[in-house]
Amino acid sequence: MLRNLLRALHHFSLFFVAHIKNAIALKTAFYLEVVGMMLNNTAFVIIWIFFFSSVGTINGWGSTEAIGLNALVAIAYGVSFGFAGGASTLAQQVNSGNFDNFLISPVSLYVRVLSSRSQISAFGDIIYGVILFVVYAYLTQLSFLSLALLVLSIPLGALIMINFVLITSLVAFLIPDTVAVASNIFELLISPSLYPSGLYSRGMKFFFTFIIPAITIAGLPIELIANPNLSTFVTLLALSAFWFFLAKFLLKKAVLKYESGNLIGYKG
Amino acid sequence: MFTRTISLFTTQVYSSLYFRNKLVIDIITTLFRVLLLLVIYTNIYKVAPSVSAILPYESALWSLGGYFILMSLNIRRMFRRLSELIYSGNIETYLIRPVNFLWMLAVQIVADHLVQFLVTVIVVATFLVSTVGVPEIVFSPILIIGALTLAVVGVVIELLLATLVGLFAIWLEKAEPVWWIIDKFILILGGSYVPIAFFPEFLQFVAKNSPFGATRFFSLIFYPHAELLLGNYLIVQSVWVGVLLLSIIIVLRRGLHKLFINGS
Repeated sequence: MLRNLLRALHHFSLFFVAHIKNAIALKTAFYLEVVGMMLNNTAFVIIWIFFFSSVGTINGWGSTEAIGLNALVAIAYGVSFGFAGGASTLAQQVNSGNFDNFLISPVSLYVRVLSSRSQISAFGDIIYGVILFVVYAYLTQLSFLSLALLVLSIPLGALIMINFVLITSLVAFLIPDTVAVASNIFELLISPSLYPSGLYSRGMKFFFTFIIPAITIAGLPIELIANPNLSTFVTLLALSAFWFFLAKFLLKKAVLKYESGNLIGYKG
Repeated sequence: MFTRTISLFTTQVYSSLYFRNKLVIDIITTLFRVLLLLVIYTNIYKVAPSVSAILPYESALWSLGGYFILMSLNIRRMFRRLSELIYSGNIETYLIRPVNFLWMLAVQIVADHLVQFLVTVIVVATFLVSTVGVPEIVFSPILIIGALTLAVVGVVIELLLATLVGLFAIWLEKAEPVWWIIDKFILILGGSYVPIAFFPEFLQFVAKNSPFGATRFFSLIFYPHAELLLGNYLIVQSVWVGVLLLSIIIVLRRGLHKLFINGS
């Protein structure tokens, strides 16, 4: 299992370097995307700072927690789409018939799909997220344990996000022309993840933890800092494992529905 | 021109009906977002009842609903379509058509999402009436006509903004980051996540006077005493339509000149 993991990581790094070299070839576009994304993300944190300064703290959530939430969502999003952005374009690959290339690859299909693309703007997310994270850590005077918990929760949130996107993209195997549909379904995860989880009722929290895992990406880890407990962390760990295995299983099943596009073209 | 537009519009509406699954999922996603906001704001008003003093519950929910109703027209796609045409070089094939290509794209986009928009209007309005109730506003023919005008002109402003940024693709290797920023300005100043009544005064001023906020003035019609500001909103919208139209004409002239030189 460790050998497989190392092999997968090796493949990810190879593809990642290739994507980055490709992106840096267009320098202006590269920097525009990274900086543009950082400015774009600022909108969300501004909204919540104004909101909480206007209405006060709600269920233990205020401006500081909103900063932490935005930091974690941005880093998780950046890691997911920067290193494993292929899930977001799977629907496009299936519709265009390009998916054939993945099937003949010697690498595991799961790894091949995820590593097929790096979203350059995602690095803007990571930089922005790290800056906000430092601000959050400074404002809350995070202890070492809290810091460790938050840092550990980032890959778990990213894993949940990647696999959820992959699962939503699988709709392309069932319905034709679903590029927009897949991205719309992804909105079901990303929109609620950007809301402070203190604004949700208990029922909603359950729904957005176990059905659509939106608050596991950032809301739950932030609440974990305010109220540290092992069970929440174990829940996060279990959920990330669950979404990982579910995505792998569904990908395997969905591929059986695929009919080759017989697309002929040059692949450099 | 009129006949061509109508025929283009009708064809596109029929074409949008062909992919019914896509249409259904798009509508469900919009409704999900409205439902999400409904649940969140219901909880906020329950936990912090003092926020009613800033904006009544019904007004908050209807204004958020109004935002998403206009969003269901997917006007932001104008930017993507236009920039894709420019980057692919296909714009040349559009330039030789008998209808102005920007007008043609705008008609296509509106027609493409018209059914989704109409269904969203009906479902969201019914949903809000039955769950939230009706906001305390004085219904009058002037208010209704004013609200419809604000909605239509708001859509026009969004189209003009998307077109203007889309044309930047002629000069920029990647115009998308510019659009992200414009899109987020619309998102904040249009009051999508948080109604602008919750903003500090200076930001409310910006929202009520910028082209970004002007795209969603329709959602402000649900605020108490909105009828008093109706004239103001219409004046601001008219000014921005003029400024943006003029900017597009200038940018388009220069851009087309550059396109011809490059030969795409």
